[in-house]
Amino acid sequence: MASQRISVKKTNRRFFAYFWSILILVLVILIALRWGASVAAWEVVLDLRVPRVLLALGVGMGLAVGGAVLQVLFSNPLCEPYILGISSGSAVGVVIGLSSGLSWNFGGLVGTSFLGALAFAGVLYWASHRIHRSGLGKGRSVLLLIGVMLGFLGNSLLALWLALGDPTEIQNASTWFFGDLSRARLSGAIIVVTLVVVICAAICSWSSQLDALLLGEEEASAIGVDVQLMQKTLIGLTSILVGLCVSGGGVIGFVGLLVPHGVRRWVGASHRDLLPLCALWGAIALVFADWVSRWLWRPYELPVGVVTALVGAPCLIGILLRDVREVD
Amino acid sequence: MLFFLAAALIVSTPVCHAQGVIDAFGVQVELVSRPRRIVTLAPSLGEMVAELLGKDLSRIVGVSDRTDFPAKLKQATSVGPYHRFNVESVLALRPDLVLATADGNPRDRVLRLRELGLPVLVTQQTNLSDIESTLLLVARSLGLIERGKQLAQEFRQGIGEIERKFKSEHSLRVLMQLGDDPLIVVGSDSFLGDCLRRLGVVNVYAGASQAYPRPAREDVVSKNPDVVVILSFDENLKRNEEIRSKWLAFKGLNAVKTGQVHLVQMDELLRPTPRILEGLQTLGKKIYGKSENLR
Repeated sequence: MASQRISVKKTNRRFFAYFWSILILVLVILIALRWGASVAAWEVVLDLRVPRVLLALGVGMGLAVGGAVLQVLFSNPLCEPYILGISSGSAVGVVIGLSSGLSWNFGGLVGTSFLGALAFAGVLYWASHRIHRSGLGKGRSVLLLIGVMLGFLGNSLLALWLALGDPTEIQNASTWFFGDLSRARLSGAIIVVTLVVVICAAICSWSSQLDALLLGEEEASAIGVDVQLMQKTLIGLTSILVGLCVSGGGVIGFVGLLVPHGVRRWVGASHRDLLPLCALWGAIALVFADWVSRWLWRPYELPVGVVTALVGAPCLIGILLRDVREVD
Repeated sequence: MLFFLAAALIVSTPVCHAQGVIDAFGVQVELVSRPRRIVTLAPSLGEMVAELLGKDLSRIVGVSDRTDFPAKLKQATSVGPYHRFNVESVLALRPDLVLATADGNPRDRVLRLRELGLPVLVTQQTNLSDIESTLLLVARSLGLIERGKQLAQEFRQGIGEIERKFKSEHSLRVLMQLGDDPLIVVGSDSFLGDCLRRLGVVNVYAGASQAYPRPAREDVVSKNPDVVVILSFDENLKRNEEIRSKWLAFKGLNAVKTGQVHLVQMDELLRPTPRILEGLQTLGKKIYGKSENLR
C-alpha cells in the first residue's frame, strides 16, 4: 500500500515536472515572439523572430543534453561541451572559412565550423581509443586533459588569426565567438532542430546504461553494460550534437553546465527524466537569454553568450556553495 | 462607364516607376524612382543623402548611430551601430531604399536584408575617387542625377585644388595612427592612405600588404617618420595626451625633434563624404604648418 502511494506520488511529480516545463517553454516562446527590437509586425515575426526562436530551441536543447551526458561520461560535474575543446575546433573552422571568403550558410561557414568541431572530436575519439587499448586506469581524466589541451590549441590558432587577420572579417566573426543567433534562417533552424531532436532521442535510448555508469565503470560492467561501446558512441553523438549547436549559434557557455545541475537537483539523477527535462530547460534558458540579449538594450544586441555567462556564472556558484553547505 | 472611370483613376494616380541601379559590386537593384523611406547604414551615407536631398530630410526614416550631420538626422530612428546594425529595426521601418557600405557593415547582415526582399544598394569607398562615384550612384538611386553630377564635379575640383596646394618638392614621411593598443596604422590600400597621397606626403607604411597594418612600435621608430598624425575617436583628452606622450618619449624621432606629433579629432576626415575636403585642408595645414616646402 505504502509502495503504491510512493509510486503514485512519483508519477504525479514526473507529470508536473513535464507539465510545468512545457508550460514555461510555451510562455517564453510567446514572449520571445511578441517583443523585440521593434513593433511586432507579421513580417518581422515570421521572417526574423520565428527562425531565431527555433534555432535557440535547438541549440539550447543540444547544449544542455550534451552537458548532462558529458558530466556522467567524464565523472566530472564541471564538465561541459566546451571543456573538451570541441567549440574551439568549431571556431577554428569558422576562421578557416572566413579566410577562404565563405559566407554564413550551411554550405559555407556553418559547414566549416561543423567540420572543425568534428575534426577536434575525431582527435578526442582517437585518443579515447588509444587510452582504452593501453589500459590506462585513469582514462577519463587523461581524456579530459586532452580536451583542455585541444581547447588551448584552438584558442592559440584563433589568437594568431586575430593578430594577423583582416580587421573587417575579425569584426564580423567576433559576435559569433560570444554566441550569436542573429544569423538564423528558417530552413537552417529547422535542420538544426530536427537533427538535435533525433540525436537527443538516440542519446536518451542509453538512459539506463548511463544510470548504471553513475555507480562506476566496474560496477556498470558487472551488470552487463558494454562501457567502452557506450563511451565511444556517446562521445561521438555528443560531439556531433555540440558541433551542430556551435556551428548554428556560436560559442555559448553555461547552458550545458547550469541546466543539468539545476534539473538534477529538481528531478534526481535518473537519466530517463533528466535528459528530456534538460532538453526542455536548455531550450527555455536559451530562448529566454536570446530574448534578453535583443530586447534589453534595443536596438543594440548583446552577444547571447554574454547573457548566459552573466546569469549562469553567479547561479552556478550559488548551486555549488549550497552543495558544499549540505555536505558539511 | 465605370470601366472608363476606373481607367481614368489609374492613369491619374502618380506611379513610382521601378528603376534598375547597379551597385558598387555589380549587383542590379530594383528601386522605385523616388524612394520615400530611406535607411542609411553608415554616418557617411546619411550625410551624403542629406547633402543630395537638401531640405527634404523627412525621406530619411532610419540611420545608423552617430549619424549627426546635419543635426536634423539625429531625429531619425536609430538602427544601431553601423558595424552591428539591427536587421529587425531596419525591416520594421519598411524602407524602399537601404544604403549600405562594404567598408564596415557586416556582410552577412547586408545579405540578410536582401534575402528579406529589401532593396539594398551597397557602396564602397576605398579611396577619394570612390566618394565621387558613390555620390553619383546614391544620386541615381534617389532620382537626383543632376544634383549628383553637380556635387561630384565640385568635389573633383576641390580635390584638384588640394593636390595643387599641398604639392611639395621634398616629400615628408608621415605615419598615420588609428589605434594605440594594439598599434594600428594606415597602410597604402586604404581610404586614409589615399588621403595622404593626395596631400603629397609619403606614407611610411605604403608598402604594407594590409590596409590597416599593426606594426610593433620599434618598427615605427626604425622608420623614423617626419610627422606622426594620431587620428582619435576618443573624446577623453587625458587618454589622447597619453597616446601622444608615448611618441614624445622617443626624443630621437624626427617628428618629435620638429614638434610634428599631431592629434587629430575630426569626423570630416574619418567619413568618406564631400566634407572630407575640409578635413584634408586642416590636416594639410597641420602637416605643412612648419614646413618650408609648401607651395
